Amino acid sequence: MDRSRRWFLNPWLQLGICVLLATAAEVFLKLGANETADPASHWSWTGLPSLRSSWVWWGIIASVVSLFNWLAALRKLPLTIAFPLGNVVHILVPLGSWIFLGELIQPLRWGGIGLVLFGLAMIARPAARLEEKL
Amino acid sequence: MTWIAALLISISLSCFVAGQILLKHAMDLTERAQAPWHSRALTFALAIAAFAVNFFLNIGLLQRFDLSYFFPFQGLSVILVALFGAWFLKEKVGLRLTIGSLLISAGVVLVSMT
Repeated sequence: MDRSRRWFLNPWLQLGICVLLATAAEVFLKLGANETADPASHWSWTGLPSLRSSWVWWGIIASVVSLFNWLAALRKLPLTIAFPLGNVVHILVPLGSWIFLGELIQPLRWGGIGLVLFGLAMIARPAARLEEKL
Repeated sequence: MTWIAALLISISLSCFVAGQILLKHAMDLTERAQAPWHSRALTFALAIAAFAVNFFLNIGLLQRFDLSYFFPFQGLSVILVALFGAWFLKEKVGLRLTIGSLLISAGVVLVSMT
């Protein structure tokens, strides 16, 4: 396997791409839902009218690709480390909503983001030990 | 919350955790060259089935409950995946990983509640 391919298949990189794509997917889906919102339509509750929006299709593509990145990460990383680290998406989605959608983050949510960050910092050492073994 | 809602939330959460464990097991089997293809395919199919049950139960629950009420239960998945990952997949879960998982769970609950 050549060097660039091996570098790309690094499980930590795959996990990073997975969480970034999962975050992007949520933002894209919200943009698409906003673009096609029509509460008067009988079909609106199914979410199907949103398929008219290109943002929704980008969201679907990002979700599917992130699933493949997750599978690639799981091939090498223990689930008990990869899954908690994947929860960084709970920080990135509110931040993405704040930056790209202009949504407000309430103080309690900042507190939750802080707790998730603290938890991730706790897991960083077992993850670093694992990196040495890989 | 009625007992039926509590039961459905438990089943939905269990399916999500089972799906993650089965997916990881399928990936482990893929890494082992001697594992027969049908056992890999069956494990992968069971994982997808568990996620499908979780998906449809979630939709049903969301029709009856507010997202802010229902979503914090998802925070428990971090602890449950660590617990069952250690049990079924024989992965090592040290003190730091346990405390980290508990903090992330609490954080996810707080983020979801607001």
